[in-house]
Amino acid sequence: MSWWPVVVTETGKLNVQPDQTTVEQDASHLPLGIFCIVAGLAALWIAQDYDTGTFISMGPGFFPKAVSGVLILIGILILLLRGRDMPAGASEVRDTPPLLSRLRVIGCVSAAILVFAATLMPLGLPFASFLMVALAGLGHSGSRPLTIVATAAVLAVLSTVLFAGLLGLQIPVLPEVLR
Amino acid sequence: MTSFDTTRRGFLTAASLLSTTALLGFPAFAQDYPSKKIDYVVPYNAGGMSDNISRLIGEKLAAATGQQVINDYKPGAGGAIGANYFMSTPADGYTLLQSTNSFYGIIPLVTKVQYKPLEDLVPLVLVGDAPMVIAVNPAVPATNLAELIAYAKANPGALSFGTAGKGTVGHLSGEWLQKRAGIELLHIPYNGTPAALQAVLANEAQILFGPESAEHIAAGTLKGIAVLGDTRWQQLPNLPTTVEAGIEGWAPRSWHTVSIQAKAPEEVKTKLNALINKILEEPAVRERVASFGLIPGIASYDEVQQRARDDNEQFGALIRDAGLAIAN
Amino acid sequence: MIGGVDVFGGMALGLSVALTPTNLFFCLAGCLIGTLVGVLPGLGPTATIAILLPMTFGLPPETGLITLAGIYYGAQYGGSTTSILLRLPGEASSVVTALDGHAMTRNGRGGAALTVAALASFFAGTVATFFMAAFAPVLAIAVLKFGAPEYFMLMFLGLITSVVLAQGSVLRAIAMIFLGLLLGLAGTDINSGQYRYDFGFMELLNGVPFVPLVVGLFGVADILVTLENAVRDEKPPTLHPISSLWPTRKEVTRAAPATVRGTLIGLFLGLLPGGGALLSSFMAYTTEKRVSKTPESFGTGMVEGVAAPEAANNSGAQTAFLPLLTLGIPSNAIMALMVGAMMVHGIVPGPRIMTGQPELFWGLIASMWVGNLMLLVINLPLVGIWVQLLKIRYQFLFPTILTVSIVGIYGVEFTTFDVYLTAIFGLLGYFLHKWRCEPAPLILAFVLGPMMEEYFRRSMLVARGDLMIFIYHPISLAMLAVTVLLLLSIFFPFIQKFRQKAFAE
Repeated sequence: MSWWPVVVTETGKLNVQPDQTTVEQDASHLPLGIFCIVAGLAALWIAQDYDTGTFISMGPGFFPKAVSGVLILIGILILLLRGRDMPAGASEVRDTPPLLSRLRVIGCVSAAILVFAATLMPLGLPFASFLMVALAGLGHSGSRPLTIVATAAVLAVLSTVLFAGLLGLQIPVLPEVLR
Repeated sequence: MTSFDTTRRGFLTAASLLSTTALLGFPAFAQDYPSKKIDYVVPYNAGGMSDNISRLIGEKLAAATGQQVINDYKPGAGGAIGANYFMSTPADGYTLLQSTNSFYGIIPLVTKVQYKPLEDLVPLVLVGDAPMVIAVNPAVPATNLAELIAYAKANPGALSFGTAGKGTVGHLSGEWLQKRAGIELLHIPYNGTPAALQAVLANEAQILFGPESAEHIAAGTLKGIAVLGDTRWQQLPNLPTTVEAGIEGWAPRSWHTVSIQAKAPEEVKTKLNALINKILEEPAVRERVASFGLIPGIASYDEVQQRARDDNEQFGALIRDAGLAIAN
Repeated sequence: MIGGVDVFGGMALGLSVALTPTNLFFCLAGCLIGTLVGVLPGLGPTATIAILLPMTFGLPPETGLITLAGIYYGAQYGGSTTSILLRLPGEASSVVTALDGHAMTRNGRGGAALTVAALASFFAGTVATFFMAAFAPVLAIAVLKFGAPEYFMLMFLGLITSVVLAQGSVLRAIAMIFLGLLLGLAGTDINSGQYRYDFGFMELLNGVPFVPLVVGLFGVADILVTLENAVRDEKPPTLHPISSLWPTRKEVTRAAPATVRGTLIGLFLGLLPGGGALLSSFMAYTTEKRVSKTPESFGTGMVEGVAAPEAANNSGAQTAFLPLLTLGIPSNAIMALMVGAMMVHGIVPGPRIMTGQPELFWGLIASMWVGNLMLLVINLPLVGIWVQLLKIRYQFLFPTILTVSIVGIYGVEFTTFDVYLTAIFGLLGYFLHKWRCEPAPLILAFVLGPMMEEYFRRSMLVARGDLMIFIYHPISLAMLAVTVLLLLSIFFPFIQKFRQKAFAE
């Protein structure tokens, strides 16, 4: 059973850490381990249709199955070590902001990018950039609405001038109905 | 609310006006063609061979018609993304597709695409053939096709050919040679033609099919064996063709064309064929096409359909033999 | 042909071509455009050269190529700027520079890092130019010594070294390597033509695109993390005020030998088409961490960690021209565009360029040195301006970064698919940060993985299934030995400690 406390010294080498310092409040190993296992299992499941071949004459499925298999094992190992794989000094636990503000940041910035992708073709570059910046600006606590709108307007103009004007990229500028 | 209504009414009026003009204009369509800008879809990255050809033709077409011709790059999946995008545009003849015979003979057979070759997509012209030269590493003891075949028969499994990947014209040329000459060659796919060329220079693979070897044949770092088909190439005039060497009939080939949706009005197709052929007949244009490493060609609308049909059948047979066809 | 007289005669001819007012002007223009697109994350030199290509058609071939080459190495200089100041690498080679470069910025040494990067790049560029001029034909032959088994061993060695990049947990670095390998598997398998992990998207048939991955994992994830911290701290993240823009004497004495080592690594790896150029900056960084007396300080702002990869990156960028100019083999996407630019003028790149087009060959080589000198002159004064970026309040900076990156990503392939992918990778990067994982090993594995698989399978094909091919080929054997030594050096201390512990009990 290999669950001895392994850490990395600052030289990047594997090392054994004395047992007394393995106390760790950081719980990041849990989601990471689960993520590795789930990603590995999903990749393995998809790869079952790919021909494996042999080690000497690999099919297209050999590498995917091997990689996802190892990823699953790594995920299990991460769960078993319960954070003891981290270097000694790196165990500081920072208080995370409340869930709602975290969701606001993630939601606004992701939505901003998605809205840009969705509106670029129908509305054109200036409008799409404006919407993206305005939405992303909502993710920054402490920005006033007027500042956000002004930033969005300036950046919409700048990006259009830079990419469609100076660099001459083929990006739709006008909304679809006017083209 | 009121302002929203007005704008919407504005749009609706504009839209109905547009459709009325379109309807009224339809009978006079072919004579007037082109009466607006033409979109020219290039299914590869800017800067490549297809792009060079599209710029050459697009520029001349714009000058000849007085309409803008605008390139639209849709690269990816060996051209399939561009072809699918092209099929989603209106079939009014105002969108053209820069393409090769692969769009008729190979891509629809090995990739899932949203068109049936020659039923939904048709070629308009023949821009030029890319000569498929058989070149070998100097270490191979053969100077012509007969010697190469004899060597391959005497040493089965000793020779391999490097290609830019499965289902490329180079790969199918190798399959064709094996079948027609009754020899066995090992296929080694590479990630692109440059890598395959490097491998044949280093003797990791021995045979290369395609025009890329020309400079090395001239410099003596590779040996030229033959050109596939029945036409010699002006850049390597001493190189015999495979037909001269005794392999009659169709041979794998690679040629460039401009395609259009089959549903486009017949008059537009004929008119475009005449317009582009007139451009391709200009001596300066022929010279440019030759400088791209192609053999310039001219074909009538019917001739080019026949070419595409032949390639569809012959490549299709090779692809099925090689087990590359996808179930459609 | 490689006699001394020829080289000096050639360089004289080259300088006479490169120093005409027209060519100087276009070289400068190329360098300026290159610096600009290099600084923009997302839109890289490949897309820019593709866009600007038709503009060079009207120019004489030498002038056209000199302009494009200027964009190419201008972008190499510019790419490090955002890496160092904003931790926003635009391409694979600047991923490494971001590690210690951005740490230096946090320490208030961002200006010095930029200066060191520019000086190291100039040194490397100069050495590479003369190296190429002197040894071009010999080097061309060396390229052909690298077959499938050699490439496989090189990629394998590169992958093992990426463990050394890790600053935190080795286990998590290994997890990132395998995640990167998995991402790299998407797309069409070269050997069988099988589509893998394409999820029905045609856009994925050529694999996961690189720029959305890097911008997502670094740029977008960084914005998410910083914004979240801003919620808690209620004040902008503090950076040390920028001290002197010049490196201290101590920094210079540490950076100088690192620059030389980085240059040498770049010279040789840059020659190899297919991934060699990319490996050079990673290998240079690893080498520095290995030879350093204080490897534990890497990642906290070590000047060697900036100088070596930047030097390697730049000398590799120069020697990458060699396979094109001597064999007609483009070693990357940018070189393939150069082929297009030559073909338009009826010049077919190949073994006859050196003798048939001497003014083009030598003009291009001489212009590389001229261009590097120009870039130094452009970039040193710019350092003062770039660091002003850090004074912009974050509420204005992050929307700017986001806009420029996202529009640039659209501009690479003109598909919104890549923009959606960026959002996904941004979220992935955010969570990986939360889980204390570093993205650098993931990026390296993503790039190397597919090549490793490809070269291994090709080795087996060429050798008809004989594994001994890796031992029979001397270059491959040598790299195998280095790999084994490296693995031992990583795991031996661990085994030793474990045995000691067992004895004690």
